[in-house]
Amino acid sequence: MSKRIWEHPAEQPKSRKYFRSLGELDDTPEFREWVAREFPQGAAMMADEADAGQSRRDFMKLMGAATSMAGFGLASCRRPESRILPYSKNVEWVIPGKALYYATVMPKAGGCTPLVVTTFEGRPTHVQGNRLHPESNGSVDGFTQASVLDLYDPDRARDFKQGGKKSTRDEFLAFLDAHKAELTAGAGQGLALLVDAVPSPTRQRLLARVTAKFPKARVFRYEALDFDGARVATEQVFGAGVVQVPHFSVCEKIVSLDCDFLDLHRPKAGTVSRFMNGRRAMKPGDSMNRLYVFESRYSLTGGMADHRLRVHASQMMKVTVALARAVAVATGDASLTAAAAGVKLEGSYKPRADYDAFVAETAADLVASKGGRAMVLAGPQQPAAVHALVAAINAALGAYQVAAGQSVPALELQQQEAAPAGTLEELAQAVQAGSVTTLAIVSAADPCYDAPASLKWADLQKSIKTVVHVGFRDRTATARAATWSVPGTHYLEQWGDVRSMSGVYSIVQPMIMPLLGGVSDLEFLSLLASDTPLAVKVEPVAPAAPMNGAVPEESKDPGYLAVRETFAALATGEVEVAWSLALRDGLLAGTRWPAFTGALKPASVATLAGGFQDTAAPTKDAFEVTLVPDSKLWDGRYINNAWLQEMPDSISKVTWDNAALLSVRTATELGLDKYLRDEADTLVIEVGGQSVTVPVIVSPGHADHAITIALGYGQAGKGAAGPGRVGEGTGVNVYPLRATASTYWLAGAKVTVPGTKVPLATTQEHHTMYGRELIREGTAERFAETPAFATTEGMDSHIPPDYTFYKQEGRQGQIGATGGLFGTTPHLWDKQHQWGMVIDLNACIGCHSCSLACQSENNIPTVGKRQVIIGRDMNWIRMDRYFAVDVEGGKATEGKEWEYAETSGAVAGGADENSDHAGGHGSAEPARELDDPEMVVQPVACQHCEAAPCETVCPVNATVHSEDGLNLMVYNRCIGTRYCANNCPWKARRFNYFDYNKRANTEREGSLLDLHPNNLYLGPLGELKEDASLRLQRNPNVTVRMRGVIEKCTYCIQRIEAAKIDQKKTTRRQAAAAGVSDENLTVTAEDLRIPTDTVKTACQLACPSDAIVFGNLRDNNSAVSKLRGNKDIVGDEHGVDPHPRNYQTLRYIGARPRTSYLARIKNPNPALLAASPIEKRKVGQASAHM
Amino acid sequence: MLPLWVIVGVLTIGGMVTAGVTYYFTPKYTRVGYTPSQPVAFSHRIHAGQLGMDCRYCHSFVEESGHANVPATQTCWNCHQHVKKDSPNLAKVVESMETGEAIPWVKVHQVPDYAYFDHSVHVNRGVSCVDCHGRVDEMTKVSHDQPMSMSWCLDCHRAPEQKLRPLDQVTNLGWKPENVDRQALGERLKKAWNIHPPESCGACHR
Repeated sequence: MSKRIWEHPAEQPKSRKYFRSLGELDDTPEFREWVAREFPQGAAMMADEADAGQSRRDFMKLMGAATSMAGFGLASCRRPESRILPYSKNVEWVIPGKALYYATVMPKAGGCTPLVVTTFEGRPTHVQGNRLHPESNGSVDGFTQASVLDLYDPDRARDFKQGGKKSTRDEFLAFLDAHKAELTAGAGQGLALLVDAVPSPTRQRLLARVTAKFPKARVFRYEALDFDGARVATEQVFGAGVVQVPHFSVCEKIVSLDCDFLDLHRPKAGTVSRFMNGRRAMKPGDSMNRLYVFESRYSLTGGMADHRLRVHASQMMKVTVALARAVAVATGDASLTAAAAGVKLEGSYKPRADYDAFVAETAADLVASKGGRAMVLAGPQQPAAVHALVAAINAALGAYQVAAGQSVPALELQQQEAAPAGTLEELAQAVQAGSVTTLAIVSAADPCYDAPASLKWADLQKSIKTVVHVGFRDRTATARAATWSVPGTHYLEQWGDVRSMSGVYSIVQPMIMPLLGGVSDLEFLSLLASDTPLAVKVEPVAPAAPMNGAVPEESKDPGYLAVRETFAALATGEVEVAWSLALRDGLLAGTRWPAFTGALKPASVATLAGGFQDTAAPTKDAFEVTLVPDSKLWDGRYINNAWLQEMPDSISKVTWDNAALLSVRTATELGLDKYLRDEADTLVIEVGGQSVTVPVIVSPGHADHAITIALGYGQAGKGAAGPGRVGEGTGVNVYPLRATASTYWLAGAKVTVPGTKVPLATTQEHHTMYGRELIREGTAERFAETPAFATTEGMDSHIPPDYTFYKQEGRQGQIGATGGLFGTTPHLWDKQHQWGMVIDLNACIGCHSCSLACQSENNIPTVGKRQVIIGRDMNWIRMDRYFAVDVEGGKATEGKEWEYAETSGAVAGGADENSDHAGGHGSAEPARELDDPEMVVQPVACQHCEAAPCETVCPVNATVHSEDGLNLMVYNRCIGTRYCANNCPWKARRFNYFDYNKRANTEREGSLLDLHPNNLYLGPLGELKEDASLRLQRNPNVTVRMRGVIEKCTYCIQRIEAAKIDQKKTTRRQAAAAGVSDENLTVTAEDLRIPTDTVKTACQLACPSDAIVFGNLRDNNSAVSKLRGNKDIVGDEHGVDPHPRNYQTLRYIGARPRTSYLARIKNPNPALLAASPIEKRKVGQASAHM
Repeated sequence: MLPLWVIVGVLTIGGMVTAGVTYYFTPKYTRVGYTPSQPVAFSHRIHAGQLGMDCRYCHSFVEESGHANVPATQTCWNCHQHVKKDSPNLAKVVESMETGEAIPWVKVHQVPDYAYFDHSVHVNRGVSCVDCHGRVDEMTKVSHDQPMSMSWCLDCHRAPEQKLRPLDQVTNLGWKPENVDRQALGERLKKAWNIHPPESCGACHR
């Protein structure tokens, strides 16, 4: 099975080793076998067949029968008749075949993500960020990017249901009329409304109308992931309704205490970019901000940290107190000293030998930037006491002040409008007291599944006489248990409004009529508050229609009317004009929350901090379990989204499941398998009287004796009673472990290893590259000394220029050369356009926005868990996550000593060593490199090599070069030999083993044709996808690939070609405007060049940190030319020099990739490096690999 | 050694099969001449020919979009609300206007899903409708005029000068200039307009 391997140059002794999995690090035989097999599926498939009790021979027999049957079909073969269905009446702005873009926002708890949505003939297909919105840099997070797929989810709510039986809208309205009459008689006695935390002014207004109509009605608010701590703390420390908005762009020093502000706790869409702007390192010697992270598991924020310390989530208060003391001493802040002294701590804590020095230097560094240039952020899941103390630290540091030369403080305080509502606990008490007879749930939350176990919400809900659930998903436990289930609308098909985090009034605009005739939250509340009988049917209107005023006012969508009413009260000047502008821009300017003018109340800080209940540090007998939001499903609401399910988790690289993350040391202690492939060990966790069994993933950099599990999986039920076809049977539900909605960790967990294994699909070893390292990194200091360090180290320092195995220039017969097949022009002859891409590893945080944007733009299918396990995932952009350990030169080749290399030798004053482990980890073993590695990320897609290795091996010229430097993949020529993928050094090509787009990927049971338990394996006999609605999401400008072809990144060629065509049309229009008759028209080659930086790829637009730059290398002004340099393209005398950090991966092969990378730069604190030998070892120099 | 008649027979049959496939299995045979009946007996001959309506009156976005749109019923209605409104031939148009349902026109020209032909770039660069669609203004029922195979596309992409014409004559299907050397004109336009039709796969296949 193994293929011939070209002997890469011998590795040089190195000081740093990068690896994606522990198998790769230890170079296990299993890992070697996996790598050596280009397509490792063969053996796995045979194993599967054996499992199914079938042989390959049976399969062939049946396939033969199927083929001969297809032969009969051929006899009646004739051209299929297809139809063109034009509009009957023209639709304003719609040009068939052209996209239309509308601004809207995706509402979220506490804010929104501003968007521009691409629609084709009324179908939303793709979302991107809205740069006009002050909170956005034009990027989107993964949840938002994938939300467009939810719109077309065949398993979304479609019918009105009464007691689980299908009903109709009219019946529901009749019920509502009758029920309202009953409620009115008792002034709303017994009516309760449960809403989610979307800050919608119109919804708030309608709720007020409902409570005005039913004075005794009560409103409650619930989110499964309610970050109560931060809210309670700001309320008590500052005042009710105060919100804290961080401004990263002005900060020099940032400390995160368990706050994943770059990913899961991202406050605003533009946060990452603004944080990165402080550390772009575009010139040697540029100032960079510095990030310290204290956290229990690796988060993306921890991966970006300049200094990171493993701290248990439950022990964060101890770190906060230590930091507060140090800051108080340095600033002389008496109230901070008092507050820190008032905290009662349980035992001592020392997570690492250099802990004291680490905290002292962190505090000193913060104080050095005090007065509006330093801030401390606490994770939203941390308790109020931590937030209060952190607020006091920030006050002492002057984070709420505006620094000289800046316009905003590091932390801005704003005064929100108060929107009082009860909590789920209060609602539960009211239900128990019998004072709730009617409950309307207008929320995306699913309390029957995700409410804290102690509430026993599912039972409580049953005891309520009438429960009406309005939601976009009705395959939830809550909707199923409701008396009435009303299908809700997706945010892309409804009117609405949201206050963004900083208060900007943003409009939710529908892109399409409700596909399944749903009822929006605003419409439902309007119906509830309405005084007129509802039995008259209300027809919603098309989104664009109100522009011409043709729709009579009374038949308009009530949601639209309600939003207009709110808007009229907010807008100034001519309301119609303001409305049109707001629809265009997606927001109403000048609507930020006012500034909060009060000050910190030290007494409240002292009270909150003094009331803190501390817990002892976890030990091997009492584990800590940390529950985190899932990076893909959030609280579980996206469980039926296939894109998100199949996207590898940013850190663990697990798809289709959640898993328990453990440190290497803890896993070794428990005797668990470190080398996960296909199957994972399980762990039984018992805590607080509850028990769960979870698959295990070993996660370097995790705190010891602690377990991290993501919430949101394991939603029970099968078929129609389950969460949907995609989400069914995925993961394990860990919500039952929670005591309250703000419980994020549990102490005193007992773990046992039952010894069973479960299949787990993880991609961390997929598409590995024989350990050929791609990463280069250095420190700010090194960058200042040797700017071009990335291109002068390792192999790069001694390869001859223009060295290549794959010579293509002057090659005759290259398709694309003028003069046909036997032309003589060099293959890259286009003088106007040569495309290239640069990815800044300094800015890339390793989220999966680019991958999801690519999936949405390029019609990339999902393949399902079984297919991922056998290495067939299809994502064009693979996000590599490497851990890095420091190894002393040359040792790695001799054995594995480095794995157990003790840091003790490096620690000054070995006496610290014992106290370290006694206090922190309860283990006598010394710390190991693997316990605490560095983490780096790198997105890899097709590199569009000028001398592409894939092109020389294709027997049918299905992958060739275009004249403008694209490595083309021609699906209609591809015969599926997969030679190209085999020969790609970057492993960037993906193969369609099945008709993933066309055939349902369902497990089958009990059918005669069950050759294989999966429908895909039945080939042409398999069932087609039932979910035709998903086809509506496809981008019409990209081919939907069928079985048997290779695919890969195209640099979004559809966008490039569209821009070229547009440019060709523009020149003619310009000439017409100039009054030249067309025969005298002269169009120069320069006229046909696409304007600088106007073509942007989907990944580039989605990137939250603006790390991806794409453009024309023939254009000296383009951003990509300035980063990559273009002297190799346009000649030495005309071109510009590359950025010093620019380097090509695998340059010694000579494939000349068009995608290059900028080396990563870290900005360590010199004082901390001097004080702590551990940190000095950890800080990345550069990959001296090869 | 095989008998001569076997060799000759095999060669003959082989030759006939090859010739047959080469002729009959190509779009030139399978597509050209396809003339489906449309739900409404719309005559291009009357509208574009006798009445002299410009192609772009109905195919209004052909200069803007990749698709030369089939007109909305409303476009028919612009005139036919006045002209021959009660004709039985127009019953489906009237019905479509009343119900809002589309008229299900039968597709005549179809390129495969993996080929992305763009009308706008062709008509904006001096390629006439007639070069691909034939004399539609003389067709009562629209018929498939050219093979529209890939090699046929490339014939022109490799030598566009044969087809180029002034932009104001693009929709004039019957354009036959007197005393003009089409080849010379084409070559001049190709140079002046900087026309280099793409020949790489990515131009049409994405």
